[in-house]
Formats: sequence, C-alpha cells, structure tokens
Amino acid sequence: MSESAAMPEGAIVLDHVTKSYGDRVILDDVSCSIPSGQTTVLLGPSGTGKSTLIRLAVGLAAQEKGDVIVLGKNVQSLERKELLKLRQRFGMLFQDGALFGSISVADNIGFPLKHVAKKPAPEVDARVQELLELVGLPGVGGRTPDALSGGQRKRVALARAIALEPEIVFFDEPTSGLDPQTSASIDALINEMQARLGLSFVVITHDVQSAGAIAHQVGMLFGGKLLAYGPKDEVFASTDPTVRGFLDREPNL
Amino acid sequence: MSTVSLLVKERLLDPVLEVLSTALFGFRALVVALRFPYPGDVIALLSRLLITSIPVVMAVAFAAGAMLTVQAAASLSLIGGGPFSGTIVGLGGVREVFPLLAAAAVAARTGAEFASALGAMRVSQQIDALEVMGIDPFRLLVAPRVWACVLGTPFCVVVSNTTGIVGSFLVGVLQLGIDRGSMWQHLMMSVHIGDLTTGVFKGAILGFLIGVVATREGFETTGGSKGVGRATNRAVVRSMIAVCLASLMLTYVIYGKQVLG
Ligand SMILES: Nc1ncnc2c1ncn2[C@@H]1O[C@H](COP(=O)(O)OP(=O)(O)OP(=O)(O)O)[C@@H](O)[C@H]1O
Ligand SMILES: [Mg+2]
Repeated sequence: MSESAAMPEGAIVLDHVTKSYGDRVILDDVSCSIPSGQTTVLLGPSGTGKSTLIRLAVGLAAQEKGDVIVLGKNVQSLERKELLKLRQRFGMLFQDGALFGSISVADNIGFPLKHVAKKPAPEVDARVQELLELVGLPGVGGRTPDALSGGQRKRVALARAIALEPEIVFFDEPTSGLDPQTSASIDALINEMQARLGLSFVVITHDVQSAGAIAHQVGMLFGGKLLAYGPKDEVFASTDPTVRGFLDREPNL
Repeated sequence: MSTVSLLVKERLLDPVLEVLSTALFGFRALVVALRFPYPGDVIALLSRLLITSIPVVMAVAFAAGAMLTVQAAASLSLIGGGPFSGTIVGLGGVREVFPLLAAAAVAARTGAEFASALGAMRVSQQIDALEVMGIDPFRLLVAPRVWACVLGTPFCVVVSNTTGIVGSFLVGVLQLGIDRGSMWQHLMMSVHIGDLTTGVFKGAILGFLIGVVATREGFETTGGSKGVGRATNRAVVRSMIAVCLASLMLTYVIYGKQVLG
C-alpha cells in the first residue's frame, strides 16, 4: 500500500479514508493514488466495500475520516453546486445499469448530451448513433431498456457513461451476471475504449479473469483494508496468503 | 432499551422526526420549485394528473353530493324544509367536503403514482445516476411534480364542486321530488363566489402537501422493490392525513371567525 498520501498527479487520491455504516467499519484507513489515463481495477469479495469506495469518490456517500481528492478537488468539502459540476467530468456505469426505464435507449444515451451539455437535437442524434455503433448495438435505439438483455443493458449504460467523454469513468461490476463470452466482449470493449480515448477508468469487480484482461493497476480490497495495490503483474505475483487465496479462487473459510 | 422507552421512541419520537424531515423536504422543494425548472415536464405531468384524477374526482364528488342531499333532506323534511338541503350542500359540500374529496382523489391517484415512480427510480439507482451526471434530481424530478399537484388540485376542486352540486341537484329533484326551482335557488344562494375562490386557494395548498409528501416518500425509498410498495402506501396514507389536518386548519382560519364569532 502506498503511504505517500497526496500524490498530486493521481486522478483520484484516497488519503486514510475510513467509512462505516452504523458500527460496522466498511473501509478501514484506505490510502491509494489512482493514476489518470489508465485502467485501475479494484478487486475484492462481495460486501467488502467496493461500491462504497466508488460512492465516496463520486460524492454519493461521505466518509468519517480522511480525504477523497478527485481531479484535484476534495469531494467532501465541495458545495452542492460545485459537486454537481465536478460530476459532469465523470461517467459511471452502475451495477445494474440504472438506465431510465421510462425513456428509449437512444434517449438514455442522449440524456447527458441533452441535459448536461445542452447540445442541439441533431447533434445529439448523430452522437447517439455513433455511440450505439461503438458498443455494438446499432439499431436498438428505439427500444425501451426493459426490452434488452442484461449484457445489452450494460453496453447501453456504458455508452451513456462515456457520451460526454468524461475524464474519469467508474465501472461498478461491468461483467457481473453475464456469461463468460459476453463478459469477455465487455472487457474487450473497455480495452478498446481505453486505448481509443485514453481516459481514466476505475473498475470494481470480483471477476479476477476480467481484471487480468483489462487492468493496468490492481488493488485488492479485503475486509475493509487495501491489502495490495500496484501494477497488475506485481499484485498478481503477490505472495500474501489472503491475496493469493482470492486470486487463485481458494474457498474462503 | 425498556419496552416503555422503545414505545415512546416508536410512537412519539419517530413520527415527529418524520414530520420534521418531510417539512424540511417541503421547504427545499419550495425553494427549488420557485425557479420553475423544466416547465415542459410540468405540463406533461399536469395533463396526466388531470386525465387520471378527474374521473375519480367526479365519481366520488357525485356520490358525496347525492349522499349529503339524501341525509340533509331526510332530517330537514321532518320540519318541512326539503329544499334547504340545497343550502347544506352549498355550504358544507362546496366549502369542505368536495375540495377534501378532490384532494383525496389526487393523493390516491397521482400521489401514489409519483411515489412509486420515484421509488422505483431510487432503488434501481436511476436517481444516483442523475446525481453522478451532475443533474440535480430535486430540480428534475421533485419540483415539476410538486408544481403539477399545486396547479392540478385546484382544478380538481372546481370539477369536484361542480359535480357535487350536479349530484345533489339531480338526486334532490329526480329522486326526492324537491321542487326544481327552489332546490336550485337554495344551492346557488348558499354558494358565494368567495367560497369558490377559497376552494381554489385551498386546492393549491392541499396540492402542495400532496406533492411534497408523495415525492418525499418516493425519493427516500429504501429496501428494494418491497420498499417501493411501502413508500407508495405511505405516500397515500400520509398525504391523506396531511390533507385532512390542513383542511381542518384552513376551515378555522377562513371560516372560524364567521361561525365562532
Ligand atoms: N446505505 C447503506 N447502509 C448500510 N449499510 C450499507 C449501505 N451500503 C452498503 N452497506 C453495507 O456495506 C458493505 C459494503 O457494501 P458494498 O456495496 O460497498 O460492497 P461491494 O464490495 O460492492 O459488494 P458487491 O460485490 O456485492 O457489490 C455491505 O456489507 C453492505 O451491506
Ligand atoms: Mg457492489
């Protein structure tokens, strides 16, 4: 774990962050610096606080101790207006897509273009078509989200998350609930977009295989602690028994 | 904790906190709504409110007008004052019962719809998704719905008054055999134009309460799809209670002097 708390060049810096719900400590003194322009994967078993960590970074939840610095701003100390503005530089893929159920797929993808960037309708339409092709779903724009499969919904959510070419994109379990082939195709899509756009991607998952396929950096969360953090090859070669246990899928006793 | 202190917490402290937190939500909604965000959405929500609530309002108000007339006539005819049942409907119906029923219909129909729609958006993280896009869900979702209720409920009150009077007149004349002319005269004599404008004003206030309570229950839903059902149910029950209490208070404020001196 890196102790050099405030590495300024990180897209996201966590500095001794502690977060509890009630008297249950979810994140326990976590520090790390997530670099920009790369894919960072945070691995960990279910319920260790991976989603919580992202919610702290985007300001949907607040920590009790420590600082979360995103794009140079201390998230917790921002006023609501500034926070909303900072968030316009993020994209996020939620665990179940969080697509707006009452509007079409095309309107979902066009939503941030229309409501945040206030682009004119023809420009929105053109960009939506482009994004639908990018995620491999041309022609589904007219459907409503409930007429899509799980994998298709994630692709659409992905298109919506990158519509404004944000500086950081957060992915909450992009491959959970998908068959191995569809998972692999989502991984390929993430890699392709990362290479093409050069954005900072933060991915949380418990899918070790997927982490291997997309990560530059890997972090290992376990029991609220960041047990390992660094370049993928280093972490994957770790000799720490807990880290090894998770990576080698040994049953957890 | 002892059973007594637990009971105090559950029955006294929690409800008070709920009311306070709803009041805070209402204040925030008011501040945001005064900037009138997303007028297009307000119009869409308002038309939907009118289309879905008005049939309910009409059915309920017609029945209430008829029932009031039957009961009023039953007691008044003992002293030979059948046509005076028009006065009762004109006063009690138009001033109190019909507006209250209109608000109850809006709460049941539209309040439930708003709570379940926002609740579903909350538990499927759609509201979080808006937040992360940098869009204020309070402006986009809450304010237009509160406006729809504030604008739509007065209209429902007008419809409710009209239907209630029609119901009263038809039952009085066709069924109870009260003279058409004197029934109409008593109805019209007791309804003042001031009562009608008061009804519109009251409708706006009750509509605000319905909008705030329903969106708050939906907006703060927790606990998955079960939670959405719970929020919807609460929205209806709580907005009905709010509407009745507010209506009672308004009666004292507006008519208290007249009657109590
Ligand atoms: N709003 C909340 N209130 C109370 N507890 C919560 C809340 N949100 C999360 N938790 C708890 O915090 C812990 C961590 O949750 P989190 O969603 O961050 O886990 P996760 O690592 O993302 O798990 P998964 O892989 O299953 O998505 C869980 O035990 C959860 O029950
Ligand atoms: Mg999670």
